[in-house]
Amino acid sequence: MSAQPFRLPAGGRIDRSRPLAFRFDGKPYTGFAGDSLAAALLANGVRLVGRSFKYHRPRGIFSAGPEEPNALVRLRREARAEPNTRATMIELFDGLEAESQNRWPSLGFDLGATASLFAPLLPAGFYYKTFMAPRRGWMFYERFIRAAAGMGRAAEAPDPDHYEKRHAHCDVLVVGGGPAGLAAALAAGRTGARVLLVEERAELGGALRREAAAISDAPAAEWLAATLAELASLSEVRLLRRATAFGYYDHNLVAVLERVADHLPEPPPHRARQVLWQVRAPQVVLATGAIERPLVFAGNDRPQVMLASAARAYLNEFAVAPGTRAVVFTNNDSAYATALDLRRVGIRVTAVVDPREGSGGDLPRRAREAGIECRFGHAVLAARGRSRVSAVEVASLGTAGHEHGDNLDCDLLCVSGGWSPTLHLHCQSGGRPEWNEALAAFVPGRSKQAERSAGAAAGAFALVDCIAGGLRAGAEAAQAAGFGTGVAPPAPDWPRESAAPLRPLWSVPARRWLKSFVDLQDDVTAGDIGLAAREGFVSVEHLKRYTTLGMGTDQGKTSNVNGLALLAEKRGEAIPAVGVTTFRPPYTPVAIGSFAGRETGRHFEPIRRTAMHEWHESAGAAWIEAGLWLRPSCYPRSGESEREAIRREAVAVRQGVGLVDVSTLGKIDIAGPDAAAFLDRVYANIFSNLPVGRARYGLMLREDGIVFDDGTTSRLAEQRFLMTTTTANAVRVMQHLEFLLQTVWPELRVAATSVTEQWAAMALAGPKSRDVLARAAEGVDVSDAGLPHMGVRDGRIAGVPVRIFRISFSGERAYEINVPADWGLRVWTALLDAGRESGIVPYGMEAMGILRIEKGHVAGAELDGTTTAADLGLGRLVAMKKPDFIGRHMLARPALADPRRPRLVGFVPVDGATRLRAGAQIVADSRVPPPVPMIGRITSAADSPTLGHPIALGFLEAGASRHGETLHALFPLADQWVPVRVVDPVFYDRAGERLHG
Amino acid sequence: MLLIPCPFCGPRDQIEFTYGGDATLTRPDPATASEEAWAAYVYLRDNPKGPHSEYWHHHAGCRAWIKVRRDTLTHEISASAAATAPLAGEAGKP
Amino acid sequence: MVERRSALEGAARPGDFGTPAAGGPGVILGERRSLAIVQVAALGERDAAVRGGIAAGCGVAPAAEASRAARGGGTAVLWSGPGRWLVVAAEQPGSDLAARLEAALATAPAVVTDLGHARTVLRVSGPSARDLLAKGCPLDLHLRTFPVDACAHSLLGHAGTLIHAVDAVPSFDLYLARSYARSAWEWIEESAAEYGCRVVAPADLTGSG
Repeated sequence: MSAQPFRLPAGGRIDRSRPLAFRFDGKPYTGFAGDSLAAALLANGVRLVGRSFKYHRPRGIFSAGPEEPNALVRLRREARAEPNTRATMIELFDGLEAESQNRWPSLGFDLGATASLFAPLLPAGFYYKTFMAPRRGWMFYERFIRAAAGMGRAAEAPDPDHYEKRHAHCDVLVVGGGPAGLAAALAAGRTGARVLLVEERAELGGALRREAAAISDAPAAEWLAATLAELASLSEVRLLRRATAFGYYDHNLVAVLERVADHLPEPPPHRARQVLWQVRAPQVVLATGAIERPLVFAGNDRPQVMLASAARAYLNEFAVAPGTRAVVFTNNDSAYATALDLRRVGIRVTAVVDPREGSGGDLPRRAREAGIECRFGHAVLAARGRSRVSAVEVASLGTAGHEHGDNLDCDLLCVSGGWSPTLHLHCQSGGRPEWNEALAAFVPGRSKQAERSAGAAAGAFALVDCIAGGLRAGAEAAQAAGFGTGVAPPAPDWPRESAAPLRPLWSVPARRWLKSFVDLQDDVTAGDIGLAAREGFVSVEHLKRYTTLGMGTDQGKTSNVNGLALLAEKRGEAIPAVGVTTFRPPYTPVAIGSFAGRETGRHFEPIRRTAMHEWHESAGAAWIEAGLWLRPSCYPRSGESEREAIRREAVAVRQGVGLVDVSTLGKIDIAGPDAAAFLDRVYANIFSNLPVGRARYGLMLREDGIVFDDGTTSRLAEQRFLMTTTTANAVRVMQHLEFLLQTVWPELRVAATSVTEQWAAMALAGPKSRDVLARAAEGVDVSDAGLPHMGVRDGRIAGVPVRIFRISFSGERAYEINVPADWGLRVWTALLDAGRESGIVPYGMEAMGILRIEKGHVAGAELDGTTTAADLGLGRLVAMKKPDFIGRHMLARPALADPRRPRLVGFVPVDGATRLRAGAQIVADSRVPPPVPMIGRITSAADSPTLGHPIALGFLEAGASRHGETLHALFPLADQWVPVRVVDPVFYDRAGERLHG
Repeated sequence: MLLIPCPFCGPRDQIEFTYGGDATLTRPDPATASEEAWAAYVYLRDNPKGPHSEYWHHHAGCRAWIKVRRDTLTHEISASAAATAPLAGEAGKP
Repeated sequence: MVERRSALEGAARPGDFGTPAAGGPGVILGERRSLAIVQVAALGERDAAVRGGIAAGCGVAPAAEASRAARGGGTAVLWSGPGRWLVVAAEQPGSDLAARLEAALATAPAVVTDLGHARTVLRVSGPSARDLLAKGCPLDLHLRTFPVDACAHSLLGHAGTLIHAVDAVPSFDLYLARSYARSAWEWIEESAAEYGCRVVAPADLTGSG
């Protein structure tokens, strides 16, 4: 285990008793439990971890947190491979495998790096300007540009893991498990409020885990331990680790991604890899901390240029020496802690370079006392080196850009440009950030939703301020949610270190040919921002899109403020005048799989099954989807094609008897003293004169006069009707009736209740249907006198009560039988048994479709939301003598009364053989060059076994008067045109004699 | 995603609801209304910026059609009521 | 009475599966069969007569508030919407709940609708029952906001469901539309596996309404 040359001999929060083997770019290394991948790489001396997006420049580990712009790796292998994963946030596990990205053939020798040679030719907007011509040229070039300027490669095999979603509720949601968040959870939890705290890392404590001062400071450590212990004792407080709040949506809905198993080689059995929490919280406390800003100077992207706070984290949390000779470059006091920590573990600190004229703060004073050289009034002009920093050039700030400065040898440059509160969620919630001059940072503005910020997220950086602010926010949030008095528990009275103000330094002037990076991930330089401003992209949103500033997977966490400040400089305005770009979810990348959750595969959407589903299944049904329902399309016998089966089934119904499952039709119980009056207003035709025990076809319009739905409705009692709807519209019709009863005619005493689920329904159809029914049914006279066409009777089949409707969709004598659903299968099999001697055949949707097309019955394809009753040939049903019904008042519109409107007609191919297609357009003359006037369309087509030739239903302009004409059905998708003859839409048994046959 | 206060069930997630359009419209009196009144009822809608009274159907809940006053700019919901009841600050149906 | 065939026939097999916690399965799951379920809908807003009729017809008066259930003698009356209740009781030979309610409400402004075959009723119980339901249900089922005998229509995944908090174990009865029952059952089984799930036979859940 000696192969961790940069591991410090002691310290850290790692478990040295648990070494973990891992591979990076195929090479084996060892780390310890508790390491991040970035920490383990640094411990092994791996400094170069990736190549940059555009210029393929060598890049190293820049941060120790979610803001990491550089150290993006492809984690795991094969189907589990995940690109663009931040090495700083990956918890090391045994057997971990990671690869660097955006390099070929290898990280050390990358051909793409030649892009750097052409860097002067690749300014902002280069691609837009260069690859525009010829027209559509971008489409051609884009493939190559994408290949060269890539991020990671996604896995190509299906994801073997599963994901979950869950809803969660609490009184106070606390985002962030650092000192402010823990304090807020404590104060809120003590009131009895339900508290959910989410922390994106594996452990709670935030900066207390990473700062040497906090670790060695007994009161701080004691406070953390006591707080965690008390939180654990509060039964209504839940602490969720490895959980990132990534989106803040309307009405205090916060999306949280819990990484359940990302720290393991693979998820344990039955566990999701990740869980997407949708948290609805009356009050939210944002204790999201702050992100340290880089400084902008030449060569600031080289490996081993690192945020000062990150260097502290590697030292203190992971016991890793990020270098051996360090320079610290800072414009504020906080990075002096890094210098002190480096010195403490024996790393040479060559100098602290500070543009300020001095600092009276405690940390700089202690650094000077420790003998660290502090070069005030100076700046780093450039970081030198190739695949890592080897020296920095330091000069007096006044001469920067004009003279060469001193070269200081180092292999680590720690930078700090101040701190930016993490405002993503605040801004997503609608809050507008405000510029704080003293902090040179945006801080939360007025809240739009029920959220408040605490700790560093609110611009309070001292530990005692974070705790006090957290306690206050927690107590106030709890009170706002109805718990406690709002008075915060007392905060610790620890002394506060004095700190001197920072000096904003947005960029160090650089020599022209050197690059100073603002956005490391997107390779956006200070020069690019200047160029964009000169070209007129002075709106911050335009700047972002033109330069791609902040558009990487890190969403500009380290670059945003520096970019805005540079634009402000170029515009000669104050930073707040420039404004900020919009923060959108997600805060950090979220796997698509977590948005799908379990809604994949067979749970993509539920399957609705009728009571006879299992029978259909065992009978070998081919299925067809009807909304969420699965319905048999046909029942092919062995050796029979589906087409043959459909034909056989249709013929059986015409000549013998068939049975079809029609349970999916919508069924609505409509009852009450005003039920009949209600139906008269809902349907275009009349129902109030329907006798008890009779059924009637009903046509329902929309208020604009267009046909909405149809079905048969039966009067079961004086005040009770059973309405049926099409399968497709069952839900909409129910909603429509409820709307009318609750908002338009609340005075009507009617209850409408969906009973679709209560009844299994099957239609027994064919000339022999009565014989079968007579054998099966008890207690009911099924003779034509006892049960006439459109009659409704109760009876029993197989010992259970049924309701029998003599209605027909096929045109043959037919009976629809409704039975309470749990007995549906029983009655279905009883009818099949009773029908065996008559040769009964179960039939599916396809045969049913043929039968109804032969009869010219309209269905969903014809009720397409554009057709009127008259278009469908059903105008005689519309009872204009009724003073009111839905749709009545718009029927007089000229457009609806236009005689040229397309009318329902039948089509047959002139050759009597060519099959017609639904979707074909009807044209008068096929020889006219396009665009051809379309005078009609085919909506339903079938190959009629009864007639022996193809038939189709459709609409034709002024169609009623054009029977006999020859036209053409065009189907350009199949390059097909078929001469067709216009005929009456009822192809079969126009007199309707077979209903009684 | 909105949290819609159902007057019968309390605050519920938007996924339980269906949007039902402008709740300020009243179906014209069929005995007296002009063609223009019908056309306006069927086709014409205001598109206000700010508070808007609208119907929502609690389809996955109590199946009540309810009235909600929602700010179309901010999504703030300031009142809700049963379909036949006035929203707070609104005169009842004449 | 002729035996009814559940929508879950063949799907629900008693036994344990998944990864149980140390204390045993986190979820106990079963179907409540042979229930009579009848909806009573009041016509108009004055529903005192309807409430009285329900009490007379089934022996249990509806709870005064919305979103609450009342129970007694094996019968439950669940609020199901404004002016609507579901009356639920074990089926008994020779005693038709719908007919009894029809008779008791004959003169009341109410409509009685039999939904006994329209719903599949599941009981989900155990220490992880809430976590399981949270995967598909947007309701806050915490005891503070959804106490015993709270009931509400909501969603379980894509399926609508009426949820009734039966006891503080916690246990919940889910009333699902029959056609969705099998998909919902499969979804619940898969979602419950991480807690350890015990499927119990329907017979073990009778009479606990």
